[in-house]
Amino acid sequence: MLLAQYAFRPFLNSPPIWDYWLLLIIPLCLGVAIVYKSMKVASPRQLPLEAISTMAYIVGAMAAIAAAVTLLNAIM
Amino acid sequence: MDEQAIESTQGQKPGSPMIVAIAGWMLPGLGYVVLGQTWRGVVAGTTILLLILMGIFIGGIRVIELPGFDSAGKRVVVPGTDQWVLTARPVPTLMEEIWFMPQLLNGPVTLLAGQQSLALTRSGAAMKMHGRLDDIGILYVAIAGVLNLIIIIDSAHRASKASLSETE
Repeated sequence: MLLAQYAFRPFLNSPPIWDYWLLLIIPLCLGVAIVYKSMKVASPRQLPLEAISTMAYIVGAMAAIAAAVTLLNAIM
Repeated sequence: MDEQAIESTQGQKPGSPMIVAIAGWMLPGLGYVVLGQTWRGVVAGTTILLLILMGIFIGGIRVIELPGFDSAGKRVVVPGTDQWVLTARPVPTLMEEIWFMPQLLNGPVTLLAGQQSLALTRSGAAMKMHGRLDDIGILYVAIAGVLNLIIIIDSAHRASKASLSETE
């Protein structure tokens, strides 16, 4: 009964993506980049490229910080 | 950063910054639409609404929980009285549900989703998820709220600049 209640039902319970939770950072960063760049660009034509490059910067910077912290943790 | 893009007020209707800010809170992106910058409002507003929807999809509807209610959806009262904790002790109650504050920046959408979450909790249809996916879902909706605050500030700033240039 309890297990059935926790079974995936869209918008009620979580989908079975526990093993891929780290990938959920990509759509979040893309959303942040689109909203941020929609304020900055003068024309909607510039938006896709600007948003994708901003998203790449955010994801890249977070990956670099994660790598640095992991390295620091291994050394200390 | 494109300075010209920020300074550009071409095709922009003058509007009261307060009205633009309130419109932006009522529906994400509506502040820009009021200013006549429709594409900007539609892109930013749709993205914010999609982030909210994704957050609810990832963590379930109970990523949005109205403060002052227990896990069964019943009103929490101050012990020994029949006073609701949210009205009797608003600050500590809100501090317990601190994520609701950035989520509320999304406007009435959050309140409607919270009301739905409460109804589904009471009927037993929605279970509270635990662990990373719940946290990530909460974070999606909270970040959408913070992004909405940023575009509210930007649209209100554009409105004040447009009304200033009109008076000059």
